[in-house]
Amino acid sequence: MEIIRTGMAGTMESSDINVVIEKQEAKGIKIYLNSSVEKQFGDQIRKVILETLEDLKVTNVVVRAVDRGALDCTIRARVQSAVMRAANKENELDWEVL
Amino acid sequence: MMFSDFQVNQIDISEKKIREEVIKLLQQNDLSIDTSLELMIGVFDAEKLIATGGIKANTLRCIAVDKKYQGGKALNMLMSELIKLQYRRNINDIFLFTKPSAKNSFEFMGFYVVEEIDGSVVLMENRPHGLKEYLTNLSKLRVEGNKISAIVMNGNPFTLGHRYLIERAARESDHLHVFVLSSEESTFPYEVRMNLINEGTKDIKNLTIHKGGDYIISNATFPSYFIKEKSDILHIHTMLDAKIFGKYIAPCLGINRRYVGEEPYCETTNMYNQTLKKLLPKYGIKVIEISRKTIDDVYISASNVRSFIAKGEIDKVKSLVPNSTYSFLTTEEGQQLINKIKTSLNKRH
Repeated sequence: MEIIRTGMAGTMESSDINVVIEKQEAKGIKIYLNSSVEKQFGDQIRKVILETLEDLKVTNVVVRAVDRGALDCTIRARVQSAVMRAANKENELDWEVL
Repeated sequence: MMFSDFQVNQIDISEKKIREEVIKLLQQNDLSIDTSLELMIGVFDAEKLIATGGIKANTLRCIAVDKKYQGGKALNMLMSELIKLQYRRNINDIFLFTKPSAKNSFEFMGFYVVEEIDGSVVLMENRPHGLKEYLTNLSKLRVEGNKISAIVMNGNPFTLGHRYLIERAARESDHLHVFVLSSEESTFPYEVRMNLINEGTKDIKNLTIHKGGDYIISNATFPSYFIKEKSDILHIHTMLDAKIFGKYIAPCLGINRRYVGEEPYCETTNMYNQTLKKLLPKYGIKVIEISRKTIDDVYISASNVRSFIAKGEIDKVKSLVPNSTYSFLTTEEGQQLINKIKTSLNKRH
């Protein structure tokens, strides 16, 4: 998936996560996470974000996430939306892949 | 929003009733209203306004939550909506200026401190390393030398006075960096100001012209709604601007001299210059104030140029500006700007 612009999805309300995805020149995926449950679930949240990006074949991006205790399925959905928006493919979802 | 009994709505600040509610809520939080907001939103519990916040360009402003609703979801809803609105406007680098006591709340909302003046102001941005990234790019334009100078200017529009200052600084330096204020607060749009400075200095070789960007803070864009003593505003602005310039921008380019034009007309700019003289030497930067160029015993200033334009005395402009600026004024784009200036009030800067 090619990232063209900045993509954002989600809110900072309770049980949600706000995800921003941007292209970066450097190689790899960089995640900046701010979470109200960082101590308990920080690593798990990062893992879900990373796996979702890998499934969508996204590389070389920066992810900025503000988490308010979102469940894994919410995190996955928000990352997917942000990626689709960033790839200008918001209306071309391939549900089978997701 | 999801399972929430609160509503987020846009606020029309020109409406008297809601305006009074907003002002009351801001006052409760020791804030006043910023009159330059482009849009404002509110969070409502039934009919009651419980949180408010506004947007101007790439900044969030006037953010306040009713004391009884603090620590709850009102701030989350408010900030989510403000960030979404900015995203829709294609603004992804978001900044805010606030009082240090509010720093933690904004950090919790995914903002990071750029720089702080103790007890007065904090500049925050939504990028963890925004300033560092800016400096990494800026450092590519570094030129080595013993005397590396800088000028920050608006150039509204570029006059022979600006030209004189640049010429002199370039002559006395190994290299000169000029930063052009990039916020759209001036009669002449940024693109035009930038082009005219480029055109009018083509012959000067040891010169780099930069876009001012988000970290050169102009007096015109510095918000003051969170500062209680209005007489402190200018000083606090200058301290923040000088600190970011001295601590980050100057070392990045090896700048050790800053030139300013003497300011006989505008007291604000004059005080800014005097404060820079006190602050920048702490960072190893010498401030050099140059007397303004005169023509027939009259100081050249961009505000004079604009007032001649406003009066329709375009022939008088000719002797005050380089050919490149004058010929721009005769183009169709220039004529449109002249008409705009004529119809608007004669503001300085």
